[in-house]
Formats: sequence, structure tokens, C-alpha cells
Amino acid sequence: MLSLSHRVQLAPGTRLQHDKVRQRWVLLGPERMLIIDELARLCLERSAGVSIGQLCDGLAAEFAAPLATVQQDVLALFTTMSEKGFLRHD
Amino acid sequence: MTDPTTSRLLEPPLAILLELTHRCPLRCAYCSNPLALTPASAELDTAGWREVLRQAADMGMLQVHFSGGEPMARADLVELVAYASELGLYSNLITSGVLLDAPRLAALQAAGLNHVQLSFQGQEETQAERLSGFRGGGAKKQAALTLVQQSGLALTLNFVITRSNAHELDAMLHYAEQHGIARVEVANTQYYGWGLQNRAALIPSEAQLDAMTATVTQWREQTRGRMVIDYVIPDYYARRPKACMGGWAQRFLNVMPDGTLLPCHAAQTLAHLQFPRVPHSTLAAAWYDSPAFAAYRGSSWMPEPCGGCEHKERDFGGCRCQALALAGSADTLDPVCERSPQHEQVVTLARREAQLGEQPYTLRSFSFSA
Ligand code: SF4
Ligand code: SF4
Repeated sequence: MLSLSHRVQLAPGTRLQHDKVRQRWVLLGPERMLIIDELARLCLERSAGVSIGQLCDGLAAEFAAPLATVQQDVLALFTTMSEKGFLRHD
Repeated sequence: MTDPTTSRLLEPPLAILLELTHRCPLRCAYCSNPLALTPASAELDTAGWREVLRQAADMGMLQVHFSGGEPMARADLVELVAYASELGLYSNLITSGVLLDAPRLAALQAAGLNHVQLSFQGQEETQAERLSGFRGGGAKKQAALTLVQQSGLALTLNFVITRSNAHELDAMLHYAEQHGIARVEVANTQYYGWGLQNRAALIPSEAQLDAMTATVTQWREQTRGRMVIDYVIPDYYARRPKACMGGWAQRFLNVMPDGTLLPCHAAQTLAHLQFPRVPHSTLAAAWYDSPAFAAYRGSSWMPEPCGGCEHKERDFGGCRCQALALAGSADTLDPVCERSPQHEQVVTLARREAQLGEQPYTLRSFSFSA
């Protein structure tokens, strides 16, 4: 189970790439691809070196959003990505 | 360019699979390469493959799979991987591992390779050797696995499942877990090419399939978040067909060693279609303009009962090659569908073949003419 104290990073063999032709961002992995929206990309880009909790604190402050909702959304997003093999956590 | 059935814009493919060569040290009975294997003399040269890669990237494809045959049998593999990286393509090497050594792996990694998929024919050596027609593969694959893990490259283990090794599935997954593998494919053999030729010797029984599904389910639970398990079943026992390749000519382009362009690796069995070939055709012309690629795209070609079926945008009537192989016509629905008049026949055939016990294999070879 992922929790707020975990740190996530892209799993080996996964990369975040801008799909120029289709004008969107994708996570590319072996035999798989995930189309991600702006918010998901932001979460991934800002997750480097910080815990999920710290990431959420930052996002909640920046977007003036309720922290509990942000935490719920980010954990759900990262859990899905982890179960699909795109993310690792420590 | 619009798809008449949905009037959506036709997108370029997402991925391309290059059958760089049909040469391979192994002779797997389940190999999905065609019975008429392409000889080395007919393979595209380095410049030809580079041009394919360039066009793929230009069109907006994102991933390239270097496959075969055994892609490591090509002396220019490293150069091609480096070029793919330069073009921004995500690269995957699909290999049996038996030709992999430390210097070549280091060169591939330096060339920017993103991922390695290593195939295994089973844990029991005699069974694996019988299936692959290759002695000593086990030790070579173990060595390849160690090398890839030491390199830090992302790795998927592909376990090939047949009637003769289905009982080893639990042991295979244990093996993967012991090695800390993050991604596994449990791939029942598919019945195309040599696999179709050997179906009676390969196809598992329904009881075996149920046991596999239970094993996979249990392992998925147990390794959630650590190991991803992809599971491919033989769909002869299914109620509905698979959407082959995400729909005919929707997402994927396959290139044969001689440059023939296909919507899927088995499509050359559809002899009534004229598939374009590089350098005579460009990839874009094949994709957007060729009648062969347009033939089964979308749902407007679909016969009844697909026409009025709620699943038609999901499975597109199943696999065209399987329809041809099993129902005798590519223009009908895939007979693994329970709504096909031939469905019962297919299931009966599968059940009958699955009872045959150990059968001799016709191992893949270049001399066989289809
Ligand atoms: S299936 Fe076996 S024979 Fe065919 S290309 Fe793969 S390793 Fe070679
Ligand atoms: S009838 Fe056609 S569209 Fe419906 S499930 Fe069967 S194959 Fe698919």
C-alpha cells in the first residue's frame, strides 16, 4: 500500500514523453502506454526527491485545494500507476 | 484521413515491430513466424531499416520493438537501436537471450535500449529443449538474465505456456519472484505460423487453463505493486474473441524481414490482400492509403452478427487471421466468438486436441515450404 510517507519514482524502463503528433503526454513502458493529463504530469515531475505527503502539501497550497482531497487523488493516481508497473516507491 | 465508420481522424500507429530477421538459433514449435521463413538474402539492409525507423518516428510512432526471429542475429542491431534512440523512439528488444553476452549488452545499453524481453520455454530442461529444438538454452538464458539485471536495464520475463509446461507455471512465477523481476508475461502460445501447425501438440485443456488462471490470480494478489503479470490466454475457450492488435490497422505496424508492411505479424496469411512493401511504399502510404490496411479497419466491413452487436467496437469481430484459419474466410467473425455458427466446432476441436497427450512437434525450419 502506498502511503504519504513514500517516495515514488518512475520504474526502470518507464519514461515520460511528449507525444508531439497527438499533442499529449504519455508514460511509455514495455508493451504499455498510459496517456496522462496535465495534473498527472505535474505530480510526476514534482515527485522527485520528496515524499507523496510533501508533494500534496505543495499542490494543495498552490491550487488552494483541500489537502485531504489532493492526498486522496494523488494516492489513487500513484497507486494505479504502480500497479501497472510504471512507478516504484521506497 | 477519416475512418468512414466512426468519422474519427485516423491516427498514426503507436508502435512498430521490426522482424529484423527470421534467422534464429532456436526452432520453437510455437513460433509465430510464417511457415515460409524469409531467407537472410531477402532481409532489408541497414540503410533500409534505418529508413523504416526514420519514417516511423516521423509519422508519430512512439515505440519500436526489435524482434525476429532472433534480432541479435543481426550484426547491425546496436546501430539500429542507437538510431531509434536518436529519433526519440522507445526501444524494446525481444530476445531468446541465447546470443546475448556482456559486450553486446553493454553496447546496446550505451545505444539507449530501454527494455529487454527475455523468453523462457519452461523450467524443466528436457521439456524446454524439446519445445525449442535447442540444447543448453536454460544455462544461456540464466546467464542472459543475470547480465541484464546487472546492467540495470528494465527486464520482462516472457514465459511461453503450452500443454506440456502449463503445470510449471507456479515454478516459473517463483523463479521470477526470486529474481526480483518487475514484469512477467504469462504467454500461452498463439496459433499462427508454426504455432498453428503444431496446435494439436500445444493447446492446453480447459482444466489446465482454469488452473493457470487461478495461479495467475493468486500471484497477482500476492505480488501486487511489486510484480506486474500480463496474462495471455488461448482464446479458443473464450466466449468472445480478442481485439487483435487493438483493432486491425488501428495502433500497430509490423515489418517483415523483407520490408513487407503488415497490420499484424500473422497478416501475411491473408493471401487475398496485397501488402505494401518498403522501399516501394512508404510507411505512411501503407497506413493511410493502402487497400490492404483499410480492408478490415473499423467496423463497416463487419458481417452479421457483428454488425448489430454491442461488442463490435471493442473486439472488431476478433482476429482476421484466426477467422481465415478456423472458419475458412477472413471476412467473417472470428469463430472463437460464441455467436459464430462455427463456435461449437472450434471448442470441440480444441477439446479433442487437448486430450492427445504428448505429441511430436514440427520444429521450425527454413526448408519447410508452406
Ligand atoms: S519463437 Fe523461438 S524460433 Fe521463433 S523467433 Fe522466437 S526464439 Fe526463435
Ligand atoms: S458477434 Fe462479432 S462483435 Fe459481437 S462479440 Fe462476436 S465477434 Fe465480437
